[in-house]
Amino acid sequence: MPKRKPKPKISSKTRWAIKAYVKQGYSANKIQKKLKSQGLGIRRTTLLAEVRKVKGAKPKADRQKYTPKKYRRVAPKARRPVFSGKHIAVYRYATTQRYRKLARKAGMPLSYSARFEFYGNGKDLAKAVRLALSGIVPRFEKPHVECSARAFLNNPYRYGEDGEWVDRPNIES
Amino acid sequence: MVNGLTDQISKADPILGFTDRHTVKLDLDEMSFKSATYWANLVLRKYKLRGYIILKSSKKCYHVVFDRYVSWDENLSVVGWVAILSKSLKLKDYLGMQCIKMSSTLRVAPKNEKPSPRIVYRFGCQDHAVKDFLEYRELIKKIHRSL
Repeated sequence: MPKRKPKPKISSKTRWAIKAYVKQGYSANKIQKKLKSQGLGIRRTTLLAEVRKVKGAKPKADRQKYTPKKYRRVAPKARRPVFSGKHIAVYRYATTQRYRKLARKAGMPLSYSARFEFYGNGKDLAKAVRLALSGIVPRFEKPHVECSARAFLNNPYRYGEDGEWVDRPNIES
Repeated sequence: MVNGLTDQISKADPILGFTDRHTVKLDLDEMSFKSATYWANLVLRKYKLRGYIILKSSKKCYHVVFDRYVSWDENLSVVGWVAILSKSLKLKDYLGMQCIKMSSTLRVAPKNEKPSPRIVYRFGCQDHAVKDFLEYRELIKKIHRSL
């Protein structure tokens, strides 16, 4: 629960004085000056609240409208989320030395379908794509990798290993 | 041993593409432009997808991107509907790949001799998914140019 501000205490003498001045039609400034001269000075915010109470008026609805622009509260700009569900896919067939050894033994094709899916801001994406193209391919145990570009840049060997991007294996029929 | 596979490996640069789950994307291969617009219009009306763009990826190959964001289930439903009605085997393959990866991808950068897909037709609203797709497309093209 948020803490409530304690209500400012006003002496009954001040309250009565304010009531009387409001009935006479005095403005808030004039009332404040009068109270000060009588040794009953109070904060302006408290005075205005009290005047409103006597008049039965509500505070202005659109307060921001009457506040000079430079004093207005500006809501923080909604930042675009880095992860918007959209990725840049870097895909093709890949092969590594480790995979080729296993594939030759098992009589499998020498390359596997591999893909990185990166998300993040433009600079990171560009760097990550460049790094992937330089010869880091997803491991054959986990050929489809989805990660943030920054995480990939920080630790590329967590997501892939040294290898080559190759063309689709040739099929002769 | 897998029959028909040779041991030759030829180096090639990986392909860059755009991937997400909530944009309806169709990969219409071996189809004329007329058929592509016919299916795009039919889907647009049936699923109320606001608008679309058609990109030509190569000869008789078109990509369609729709403007309304949909759920993954609806996305599969749309692509499946077109794949069945158009009797396009390639689109069925594309749908199968989407299901395996659990996201759909369209190529943006060039591939071998094929250039990057270029916009050939626009229809309807384009301020949601199409706009975002085009932004990403620009980013990918920029990255590809800088490589």
